[in-house]
Parts: sequence; C-alpha cells; structure tokens
Amino acid sequence: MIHKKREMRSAFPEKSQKQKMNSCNLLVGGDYAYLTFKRKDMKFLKHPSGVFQKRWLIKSLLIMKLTFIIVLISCIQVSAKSYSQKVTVNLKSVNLKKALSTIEKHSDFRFLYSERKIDNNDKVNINVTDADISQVMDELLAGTGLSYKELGNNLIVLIQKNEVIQDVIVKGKITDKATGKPLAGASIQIKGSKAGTTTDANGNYSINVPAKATLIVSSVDYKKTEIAVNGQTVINISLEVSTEGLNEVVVVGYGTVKKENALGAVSSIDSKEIENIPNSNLSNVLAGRLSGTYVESNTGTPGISSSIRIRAQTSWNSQPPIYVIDGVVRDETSFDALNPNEVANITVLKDAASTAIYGSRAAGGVMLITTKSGQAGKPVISFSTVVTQSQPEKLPEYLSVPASIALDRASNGDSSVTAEDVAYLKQYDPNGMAWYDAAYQNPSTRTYSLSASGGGKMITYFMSGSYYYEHGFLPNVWYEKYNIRGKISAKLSKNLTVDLNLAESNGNRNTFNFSYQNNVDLSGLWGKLFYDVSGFANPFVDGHPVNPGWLGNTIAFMTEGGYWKDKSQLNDALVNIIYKIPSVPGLSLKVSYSGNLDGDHIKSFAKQQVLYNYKQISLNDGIDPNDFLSTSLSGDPGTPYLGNSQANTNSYQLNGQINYDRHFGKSHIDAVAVYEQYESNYNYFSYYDYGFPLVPIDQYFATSSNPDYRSVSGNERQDGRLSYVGRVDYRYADKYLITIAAREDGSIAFAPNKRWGFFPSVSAGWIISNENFFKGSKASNIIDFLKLRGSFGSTGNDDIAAWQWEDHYDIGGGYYVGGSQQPGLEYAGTPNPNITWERTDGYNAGFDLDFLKNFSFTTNFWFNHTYDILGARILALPTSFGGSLPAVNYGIVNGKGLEIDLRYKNKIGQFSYSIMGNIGLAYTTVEKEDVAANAPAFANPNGKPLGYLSGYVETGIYRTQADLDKLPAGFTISGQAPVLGMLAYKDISGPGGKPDGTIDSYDQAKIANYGQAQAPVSYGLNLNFEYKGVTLEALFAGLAGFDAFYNDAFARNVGVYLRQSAWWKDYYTATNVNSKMPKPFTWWDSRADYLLNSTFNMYNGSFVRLKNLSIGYNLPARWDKKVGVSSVNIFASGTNLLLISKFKLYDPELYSQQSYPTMSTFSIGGRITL
Amino acid sequence: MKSKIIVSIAFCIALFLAGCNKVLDKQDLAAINPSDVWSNATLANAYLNNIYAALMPGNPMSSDDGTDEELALQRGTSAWLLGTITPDNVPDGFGVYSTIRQINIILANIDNATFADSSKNYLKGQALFWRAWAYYGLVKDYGGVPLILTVESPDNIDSLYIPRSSTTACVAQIDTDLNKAIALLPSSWSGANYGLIDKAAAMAFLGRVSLFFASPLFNPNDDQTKWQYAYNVCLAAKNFCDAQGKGLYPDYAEIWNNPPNEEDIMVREFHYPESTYFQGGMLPTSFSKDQAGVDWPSLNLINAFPRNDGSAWDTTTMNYDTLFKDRDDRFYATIYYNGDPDQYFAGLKEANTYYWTYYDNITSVEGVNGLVGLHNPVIDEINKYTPAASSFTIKAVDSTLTKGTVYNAAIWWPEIRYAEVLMNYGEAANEVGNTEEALQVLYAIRKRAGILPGPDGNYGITATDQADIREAYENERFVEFAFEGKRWDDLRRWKKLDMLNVMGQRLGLAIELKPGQQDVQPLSDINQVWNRFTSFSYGADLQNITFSDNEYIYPINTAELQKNPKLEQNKEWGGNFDPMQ
Repeated sequence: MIHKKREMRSAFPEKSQKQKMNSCNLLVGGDYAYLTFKRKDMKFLKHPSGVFQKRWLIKSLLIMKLTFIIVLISCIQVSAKSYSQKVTVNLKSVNLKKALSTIEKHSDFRFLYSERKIDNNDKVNINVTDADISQVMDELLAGTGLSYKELGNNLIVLIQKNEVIQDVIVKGKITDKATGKPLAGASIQIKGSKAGTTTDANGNYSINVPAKATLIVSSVDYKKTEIAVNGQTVINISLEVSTEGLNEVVVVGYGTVKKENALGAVSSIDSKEIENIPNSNLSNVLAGRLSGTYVESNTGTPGISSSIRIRAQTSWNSQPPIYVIDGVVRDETSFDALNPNEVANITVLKDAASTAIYGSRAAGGVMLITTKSGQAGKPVISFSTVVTQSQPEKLPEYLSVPASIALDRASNGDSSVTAEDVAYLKQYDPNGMAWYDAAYQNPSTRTYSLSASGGGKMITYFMSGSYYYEHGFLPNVWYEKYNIRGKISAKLSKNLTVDLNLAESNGNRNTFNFSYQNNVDLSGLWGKLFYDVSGFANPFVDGHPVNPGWLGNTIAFMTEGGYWKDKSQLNDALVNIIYKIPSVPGLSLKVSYSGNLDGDHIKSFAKQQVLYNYKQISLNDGIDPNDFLSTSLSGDPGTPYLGNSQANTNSYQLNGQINYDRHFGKSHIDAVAVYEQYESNYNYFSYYDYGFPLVPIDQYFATSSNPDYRSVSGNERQDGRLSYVGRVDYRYADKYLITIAAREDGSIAFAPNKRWGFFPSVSAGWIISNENFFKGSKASNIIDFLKLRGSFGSTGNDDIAAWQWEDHYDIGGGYYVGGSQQPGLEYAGTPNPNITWERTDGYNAGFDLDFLKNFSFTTNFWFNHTYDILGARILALPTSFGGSLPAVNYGIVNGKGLEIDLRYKNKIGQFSYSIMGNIGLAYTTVEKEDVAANAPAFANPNGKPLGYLSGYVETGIYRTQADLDKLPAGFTISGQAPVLGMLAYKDISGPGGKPDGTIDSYDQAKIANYGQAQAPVSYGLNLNFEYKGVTLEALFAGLAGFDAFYNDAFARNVGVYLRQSAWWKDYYTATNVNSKMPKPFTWWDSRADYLLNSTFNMYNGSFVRLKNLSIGYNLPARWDKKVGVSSVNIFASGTNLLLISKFKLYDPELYSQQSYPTMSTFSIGGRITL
Repeated sequence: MKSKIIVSIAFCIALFLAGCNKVLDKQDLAAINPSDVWSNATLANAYLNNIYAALMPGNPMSSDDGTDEELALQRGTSAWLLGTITPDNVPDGFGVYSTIRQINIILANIDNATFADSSKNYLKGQALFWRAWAYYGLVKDYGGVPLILTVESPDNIDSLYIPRSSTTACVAQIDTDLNKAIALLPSSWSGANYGLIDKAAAMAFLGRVSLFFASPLFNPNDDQTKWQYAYNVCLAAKNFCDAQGKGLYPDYAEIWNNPPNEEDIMVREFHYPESTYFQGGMLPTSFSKDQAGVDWPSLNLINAFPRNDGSAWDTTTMNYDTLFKDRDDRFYATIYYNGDPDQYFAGLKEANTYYWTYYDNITSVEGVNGLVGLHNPVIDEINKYTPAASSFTIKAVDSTLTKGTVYNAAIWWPEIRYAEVLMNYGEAANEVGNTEEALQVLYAIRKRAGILPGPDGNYGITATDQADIREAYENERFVEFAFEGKRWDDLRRWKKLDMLNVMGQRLGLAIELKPGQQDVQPLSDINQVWNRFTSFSYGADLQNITFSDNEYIYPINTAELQKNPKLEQNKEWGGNFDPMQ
C-alpha cells in the first residue's frame, strides 16, 4: 500500500500534485471530494471504502503514467524505473537539474541543493539499470565539483566537495494551536526539496535533515508554517487553522470547484475578515473587499443596509444581485440578517457564465453565502464580544452664527435679523450648536456571539447564537438583532447523509416618529438641529421643551413624539438529503427543501408633545426664559395615532439534484442536473387607529372606538418559479477545462407562452503552467501558476411589475358622492402579451497568475450586452395619447469593465504580512432607450452612459455692469433678466437648434458621465501584518469617477436660519464682487438661478475611506493552557476613521446632506475558544 | 438497495411532476376581468367614479396664478405676474389627456354594454360632459389642442402624432359633447346619486364655456353671434335651473356651511374621513401646517366689497381702522380681520381667543414676510407667527379644524353655483343689449348679499349703460366669487390683466398698536378697541407686477413639443399656431 502511494506521488509532477490527489477522490462523488481533499496526505487510508483497491483506477493511473513517460522520452530520450532503492535511469546530455528531477520523478529519492551552487550548463550522461543510489550519484556528479550526502528518508543533499554537512535528526509533535490536539498525517517537508515525512497517529514525527534546513509543516485546514531547524533536535509545532482551506475550493452555483480549476470571475471572502467588525448589516462591511463589487452606503442609520452592485448595472430596471444562502435563492434582506459569526464564506459570481446557472434573475450577479458547519472532533466552543463607542464621522458644514446672520441680512434684507436676535443668540447659543448638543446621545454598540461545534463519525453539529445592539447618536434611534442557527449533519449510512439547517433572525429597528421624515436615512428632522428650529429659541428651559412655534420642538419630536418600530423576523429551515448511489460510481442524488417564513411587523405610535411657551423678546423667537406663559401641544402629529402593519412572505424552495463525477483516464467529468421549484405567498395587512379619547397610550384599548377613525388595508401576492438546470464540467489532463451549463426558467411575470427563458453558458480555461513546455521554460522560474480563462453566458432579468401581460381593471380610487364613498375602478393600461425576459449576453476573459512565490494576480475583462430591456416608451409617445404604453422589450445597454486583484504575501522570520489590492472598473453605454421625438441632444440618452447627469454650463458670475451690458438685448435666464451677482450660463441652443439669446431648458448639456449609483470605479486596499501573535489590519475602500449635485434645498435657499450652509462662504455683494459664490437671494426669488442643476454645483464625489483599522493579539499558547482554554484573542479596532474626498460640505457617500451620517467607531473586543 | 434507489427516484419524479402544474399557475389577486366591467352597470359606474375623482374640482385655494385677490407668501410674486413665464416653466396641462383616454374608453364600450339602456345613457351623458370639461380646461388656456375622440391604438406610434385642431373646431367639439350630454342626462339626481352631473350642471357649464369664448380674449372682434349664442345658452340654463327649484340661497355665508342647498348646480362633496382635503395654508400660520400664506386677501379685494347700503368703499375717505364696519354680508363671509369676533374654526375656539393680527410696532415693510416688527403678545403661542397680511379668508374654511388637523378639511365645494348661472346670463344679456335684464341680475345678487335696496331700489348700482354695467359686473364678480378660482380666468377673458401692471404692487394692510396703548384681551370687542390701532397700506410684492400680454394665451410646454413633432407652438411664443383661428 505504502509503496503504491509513493509511486503515485512520484508519478506526478509536484505542481499538480494537489489536483491529482483531489481527482482521485472526486471519483467517489462530489460531496466526498470536499472531505477527502482536506485530508490529502492520508487520502487513501481515509478513503470511505477503507482501502484503495479499485482496479479500474489503478489501471487508469498506470495509463496516465505511461503516457507521461512516452511524452518524456520524445523530448529527452529517457527511460527510468525505480523499485525501492534501485534506480534505473538512462539520460543523455541533459543538465544536472533535469537529471535530478527525472530521478525524483521515478524514484523515492529527493534531492536538496542550493540553486546557485549548481552549474546548470554542465551536461551529464547516465545509463544505469537497477543501480544503487550511490552508484547513480557518483556517475552523475563526476566532474561537477559536487559531492553528496544521504540523510535517510531517501533524502540526498548535494554539497560542494569540501563542504562539511552536519545533519541532525529532528523529532517533534504537531498539534492544533487552538485545541492542542495532535495532528495525524501532517506533512513535514524540507524546504527546497521534495523530501519529507508525515506525522503518525499521535502527531509525532522524526526526520533527518541538514542542520541549516528549514522545515515546512502543513496539514489540510491549517496554515502552512515554516520553521528553521538551526540545530534544534526537538521541534514541536502547533498549527493554526487556516482560513484558506475554504478558499482553495470555490463555491459556485450548485456545487464547488477547486480554485485552480475555476473558470469564472469570482471573488470571495472568508468570514474571519469581517466577524470582528461591529455592524448591523452584513452588506455594510463588504466595501473594498471584493473586486468588481460596488457597495454604496447612503446612510449610517442603525439597521440600514448598503446597496450592492456587481459590475455595472446595464439596465434602467432594477438589477440587484440575487443572494443564494446555502443553495436557497433569497434576497438582500435575508443576507443582511445574517450574523458574520455564522457565515463561513461569501462568494460573488460576476461573469455571466458563472451566474447563468441562476438564469432568470442573475443579470445583476450572484452572491453565494455558505454558513458554517460543524467539524468532527472535540467540541469547540467560542465566545466573542465587541463593545463600541461611535461618533458621526462627518457632519454637514455650516457657517458660524455671525456669518450666517450676515448672509441672512444680505439675502433677506437688513431687517431679517434684529439686534435683539443677535443679543439673544450671543447669550444662549453663540455657536449655533445648542440644539444639536441637547439632542446628542453617546452612540454605542455591543455584540455578543457564542458558538459550539464538533461531532463524531455519525453526527456533526454547529450551533451559534449572537446578539447585536446599536444605539444611534439621536434619542430613540436604536437597532438590535438576535441570530440563532443550528446545523446538524447526520451520516445515516455509508451512502446517505441528511443535513438540517435551522436559523432564525430577529431584527428590531426603532426610530422616533415624525410625519416628515424618511425612516430610512432619518432625513427630514435631525438636520434642523443645525439650521432651522423655527426661530432662535433655545431648546429647553428647566428641562421643559420650548415651543418654537408652528410644528414644534425638534428634540421633543424625537423624545416625546412616539416611535416607529420595525421588527423583522426571518425563519429558515433547510433539509438536505444526499444519497450516493452505490451501484453507479460517481453518481449521487440530493434533495433539498427549504421553508422560509419572513415576517415584517411595523408598529408606529405618534402623539403630540406638550410644549412650553415663553414670552417672545426678539423678532426670530428669542424668548425670555423667566416669563413662562402657557403650554400647548405640538403641531405634529396632526392627529395622534397607533398603527400596526404586518407583512409575511411564506415561501419554499424545493430542489432535486443529480451529480455525476468521474475520471476516465485523463478526463474528468463533473455533471449536475437540477430541478428547482419555488412558490411564495405574500400577505400584507395594516390597521391604523386615529385619535385617543383620553390619553395617548400605545395600545388599542386607548384608541378611538369610532370606526370612521380607522384605516385598514391589505393585499396578497403570489409568486412561482420553475427551473431546470444542467451543467457539465470537463477537464483534460488538468490543463484544458471546459464547462457548459444551461438553465431554463419559468416566471409568472410573463404570459404562459413567453414564460420560459433559456440561459446557456460556456466557459473554457487553459492552465498553461501545467504544460510540459512551460515547465521547462525560463518563465517557470518566475511564474508558479498561470491559467487563461474565457467565457460566454446569457442571463435574464424579470424584475418588473407583474401582470403587465394581462388585460385587466384594478379596484382603486373612488369618489365620494350622494353621502357615501363609492368604489372606483381603473383600467390597468394596455397589456403587452409579448412581454418577456430582459437578457444579458456576457463575455469574460481573464487570467490567474501566481508569480515569484509571493504574488498572485487575477484579472478579468468583461463585456455585457443587455437587450430586450423592458421599458414603457413614454417619451416617444405624445401625451395626447393619454395612456401609458405597456412595457416592451426594446432597450439595449452595453457595459464593459475590468477587475484586478493583486496580492502579495511574505514572511520574514516571525513577521508575516500581506498586501491585497483590488480595483474594479465598470462603464456603460446606452445603445437604445426611449427618447422624445424632438428631444435636444442632451436629453437623448443614446450613446451616453446610463444615468448620466445633465445640467447647465456655468460660465461665471455677472460681476460688473460691463458684464451685463455685453449681453444681447432681451437676454433672459429662465425668463428673468440677469442682474449683478447672478450666475451666468452658456447659451448652448434653443428650440431652433441654435443659441437663441435666452437660457432655457435647451441650454442644458451632458455634464457628467456617471452619478453615484453608477460609480464606475471601486477599489480596496487591505494590509495585514502579524508578528508573534500580534495582528494589524487596515482596509481602505473607495468609489471614484462619479459626480453629484449639491442641491440641498435648505442649504442653497437662504431663509432666516440659525446657521447657513458652508456652501455660502464668500458670496457676491456690492463690496465683494470677486467672490466665489453668486449673490444670495431670498426664497422664491426667480433671480436665484444658482438653484439650477449646473456645473457650478456639481462636484466630484470620489472618496476613499479607512474602513477598518484593527489590532489584535493572540495570547501565547502557554498562557492559554494555564487558564484551560484553547485560545484567547483580544483586539481593538476602528471603522471609518478617515475620509478623504475633494468634496468637503458633507460625506459624499450619503444620499443627502441630512442623511443620518456614517459613524466612526472605536471598538474593543475579545474572542475566547474552549 | 436498488429498490431504494428506484423508490427515491420515483418519489422525486412524482414530486416534480405534481409540482409543475401548480407552481406557475398563479393569479393576479388584485384585478378585475375586463369582460365583467361592461356587462355590469355597478362596475361601469365605479369606473366612472374615478373620472369624477380626477376632474371634479375642489377648493381652488393656493392656485399659483396669484391674482389681485390675494397677497403672496413671502412676497413671492408669481412668474405670471412678473412676466417670466416661458415654455419651460409654464405648468404643463396636458396631463388631463390620460383622463380623456379613460373617458374615450367608456364611449368606445358603452354602446355595446349589456346592461340597461337608461344606465347606458346616463353613463354616456356623464362621460361626454367630462370630456367637454377636460377639453375646455385645455382650450381656454392654450387655444386649439389635438382633439382625441377615440381610444387610440399604440400599434403605430407615428399615427399618434396628432396636430392641434383649431380653437374653433375644439370649441365646436366641446359644444357638441355638451349638447349630447344635455340630451342624455336626467334633469336631476337625488339620494345616493346626488352630486352626479345632471342636465342643469351640463347646461350651466355650457353657459360658462360660451361666455368664455364670446368674451374679448377669444372674440377680439366682438362677434355678436358668439354673444348671442352665449346669451341663449345662459338663459336656457338659468330657466332650467329655476324650473328645478335652484336659486340663490338666502344666507350667503351658509352656502358653504349648510349643504346641500338650492345654490348647488355642480358640487363636490367632501366628508371626513373618507374624502377630505388639505386646508393648511388658509389658516393663520400658528394653526397651519405644511403650508402658509394661502389666500391672504389683498387690500385691493377688501376695498372692493361694498358697504351694506350699496355704496362703494371709498379709499380716499374711509379709515382702515374701521374697515369692518357696515360692509355687506359677503365681506363678513369672506374676510377675517384684526380681532374679528367670528371664531370661525375650532382651533380658535379652543384657544379661547379672537385672532389678532396687529403689531406692537412695525419697523419695516420690506422683510422676508413683508412686515417686520414685534408681534402683540395677546396669546403668545398663537401670535408667534407674524403674517404679512392683516386678514385671512374664511370662505369655505372647515370650522372643525384645529391645529394639526388641517388634512381633514371636508367642506362641500360648489364648483358651479346658481349665482354664477345667474351672472353668466346677466353678463351675456348686457352684451347683447338687454341691459335691464343685466341690472335685475345684479340687484338679485346684491339683495342676497344683504345690501339694502336704497331709495332708488338699485342696491347701490348706479350704472345704466352697457359699458358701466360691464364694469359693475367686473366688480361684482370680484367680490361675489372671491377665492372661488374665477378671478384669473375672468381677467383673462376680459383682457383686463394689464390693470395689475398699472396697480404696480398688490397692497397689504399693516395694523399697529398706537404708542402708549394697552394690548387688547383675547376676547376684546373690536368695536370697543378699534381706536387703539392705526393702519396703513403698503406694497406687498417683491417687485412690481409686469404681466406680459403674451401670457394671456399660455405657451405649450417644451416637453410636449418635444414629444410630438406635429405639435405647433402658439404664435405669441415663437410658433406658427394661431389660437385665434
């Protein structure tokens, strides 16, 4: 047995050893491949059948070996045989290295030498049959100036003739760093040679090595560790669990593939990278970590997720990525609900060939999420906690109070702010921060996470629970999340495995309730703390909220106005049954059923607040705090109310899957066929009750019993999807790879005869570094691995309103007449029975390159052609038609781009470090989109990027009368004759197609290619350092290449505000004609032409953030032992510590100036493993 | 083992096949089948209901036009009055075509509907009325527009580029539709149908249309046949309304507070909570929400109300401190003045005060809001917000409103009331030379307004010839229909908007506490305390009004011109279309 094993190993070139081992195991079925791969060094011993005895396999391997030898002979005329210690070799005029490697390939002997000591130009000849190794070496080295020494273990060291080599026997034990368990089958290799040994069942090893050698210790699932012998004779090594074990296989749709054989454009991260970063939603921490993935965080509101775009959006319809969690197609809500501690891996499929296997809805890319599973062994219990203090990273910038008052007066007249107002502010609110400071609460988060995993031969399990709590910087803004997951895998018999995966997630998002706020980014209220509190009154007197008039007191709305609470609960139950059919090798069946219950409950309660009136002593509501007059109720909410709404989606996904995975000679086939069905039922119900006869309490017993004061609504929706999927991977000689896949999907969004869409794909790859010609070439000294890839795939999008294919009327509207409300009925619009999928044809080409040992480089070029894009051609249609046309498949958008991942890893002594950078570029061109018949050029989207920005082209400010005098007679801007201080714009065109002496809508132009949602550049830079258990990580991430308008109404319009936006620094006045900004005008003034969207208020939104900076320390193992734990890790980290952007007025990533800001966080935490 | 495999494969296949049939067999749970609609009168009527909801006007407060009726919030003179309207910023009225299509769908299906003929006729009559209504709204603003009378098929987009029909053709079509509607509609509706369009409403509306197109704007050469036609249909409408028991409701103020009543010709019902509207901006700012400064009466309007003896308010001799004394009923039903004892909505009653609009002292009239000064502290919370106006309108304000409930307003809105039918008839009568008929109408209107007949029995009307009577009509409509959304179109059709340019700025009234005077009490009697105040008027616009004659006929919005290459711009706006044809 052992002998055969050795022969096997020597039969294959070193580079492809891993592949070969895996290939052997893949023969017994896809699922098992994963398992055995991890135990590669013991693969035959651990084979499920116990011994490696399949006759046909041996045969095929022999054939392979023979083939190899034939190839070799044709090159260098060699025949070599090795039986035990005897060597047969016949080489003519080859260089020494070649000769040595030939012998290595055909014997158990391993050579160790220093490259620079060998003169590779020496040609050697050798022809021996069944010779001892000493004879072979003597013949080989004759006349080379080299000598050799046998070290045992069939290891031979080449040395200079006079050199004395001291060799030592090194013994030791290899253990798991976390658990202290001995590792059986770990490999100990001498660096620079192919010689080595493996540990026994107790983790012990013994090896004879040169005293100056370096040992490489490796075991599947563990980090490869190097250690210099330096004369030591006992070297015990504890290995750390590797995060790369998983990375070596790549998760793809309906299966996995070895990374080396992967053909798609795929990025993935391991949860280790993100599990210590406190955040309410998984999507928020992905920025900069995955190339080609654009993460946009428009707000820092606790519990609100980021939007993720993969490559470019190539349709004006929404194309979100689909999220596939443990094989079940879900949505971003489910993804965000996961706790990082229960996720093993997140993989992004970017190219159409990879995503096409999810056909119908994959045009926006696919995110594949794998949750953690249990590993057989002693129970591993892990607990971690993180506590965080936060602060807003960047608040909008405002002018000082005196500067704001000056601006008030400049635009609204000298009488807008009186001397009494100024005196009042000086006394009570000199910095204009009294309201903000009074509202501010210390924001913080807490995270706890506990997990246990382990198992035996039959059962493995993983269980985890976690809790997250975040409090915002404003009162009543908080979010909490609980997650529970239990995963059990039972091997019921040799061939039958059943997995059960149960998960629950509870998210509670709470915010204050104010009629005019956006509950997502909380804009609409808190921004008023800076600029407008309906006057200058201070917020509280003796703890009583002051009534500043009209709607009410901004802070009282937050603290006393009720709440809005969104409770989201997701329950997922997944069962997998895997059956390997014993009579047909390589064939297995899998049936999965996933039941999913998504509930969303919103409770909102709004009540009026008691406010205190004080005597007004200045024009803009300065008050005398000693002169209390009365109390009154706030103006908002108009009517207090209590409301509950409940939305439930009940869905399931059922899959039947057949896998076939086999080797035939050098060929390898991995085929999968899947049947998938999905059904869901959405049910929404809401009940609002207005008015409280006695007191406002957030319970229905307190609400009005008058049925007129109730509002009830609800609706239901059904969905269904049916899919057939097939894929065949074919690999030849580990050099040539091809994958063909197809999916057929049926969607109820389309008429029965237009329902089915077919989405094929094909990919091919060539591992050049596995070619013999490559191995002998000079390039092989630099390049360790090189694979070329190319693919084509077709994907779809059905994310449009349903039922557009069917003629129907909708109940809705109505009219009150004759003393009662009468129902209404509306024609739903002209149907289009031909409506069908939007399709994207995607092409991808790329290569993966490992070079100079430490570098790895991956790049992908892609081109997407999206056609049949659905859109209602409303612009091409005169309004007099009076209807909307149905959506038709007509649009065309092309996208193209490039992604680059570059990684450098190195270790100097105990100091190891890595630098990983990625960048994604994504550009679009609209080929065909709706355009009005007589549209001016700027309004024609065709030939322009999707979502380009248009506006006026600013040419300066009318600073002097001479500037105005130069204008043609009758010149107007939006109908207004220009005056001094107004912005000047370029007269580009007019209704006649020529400049016409007026600035009107015809004078707009395309002024930027991309807005933020289409940002064409995304990048990240990740730095990792480790020294003696201390780790330091930094992640920079940014978006670039896009522009945005600064158009906050309350910032650009100058009212009588406490503070004015810093946008208004340096404005035009009669005495400051060389200002940067135009002359400010009051609200409604038609001369305020700076309100137009133009180049003047457009800015480059590019930014880069230090997303994460963390420092961690792993307590030394000897300390761990003393306290009886496996490992202890403590860390401190900060997120969003630095923001670099040209735009200074507020965080450019935010949706608007008043969006809840991104938080800078400072955390400390620890993780303890038992 | 083999049997197990076979069983499991068979199980899977069975499962899949069973699933296939149902998975994609789904229904739209929110839809009604088209064939049901035109075989069921109830459904067809429900369809019509949404056309009512789309086209039946409600309270026209806050109309952007801003006439001499009212002052603008923060002195924001409208683009129309500044003469800065362009094809870009002109409101686009073409959106009504979507309702026209909905109406055309009725007209295309109704003849083949399978329910009773009476129902079909009534439906058809109402549909024709609304089509006329929709086209009138377009033609009075732009002149002729594309006449779409069928349900156009979208199959060939080029065939949808319909050019404008002439104004004459459009008016003729409106006339045709209305006459057909009049023939089909019932004389009146009652009970659960009260408020639907009946024959009286259609005839009254035909009167309004005919009067508009006979007026100088579209009848620059004073074609008497147009006036004669207008007179005929207006008289017919009046006579028909009289026969239906319609008439002037005796108490002017109660027209809006006591529905239904005989003044209703075309009315929109509102009811809390099913059918309400927003009335925030009309209330004093401290009771208002989300909007302010809507329908602040200008001093020009206040001046126009006659005294109760029929004489005019003489601005040269009368004292604004007592402007509330001895005015006609319409004044008190329209204007809320400083310290008015009419607590016209619940919020005021709750606060147990009258609304006081005076200032302790006024330092400037050029502030953002016009007047600048510290406000009186009668009720601090209420008076915190200083309105630039000294008065508010109280016409058709929901008396149940309190602070914060301004979205719940539910006052019936009579879009056409009998007074309009009467005055349309009277105005037409004057233009065809029947001056006596015209005068009798004015007397009736003034009599109902509580004006005394006077020794000559002429209720203060001194006009006797056609030109003077015309002017009397202009004044009478100004006050009779104040804040009913008629002023702008009246000034347009009379081509009298240039008088606003002469005016320069609309006037506001500033009321100030005399130096040394005590503040009043919340419920002080204005008749006792009026002498504590002094008043003066001031120009309340940001800039002088510079209405441009081009704006009498609106430009077609740029967006519409771009969508339809066959659509021509009006000639006043650089195009080739002559709206006078």
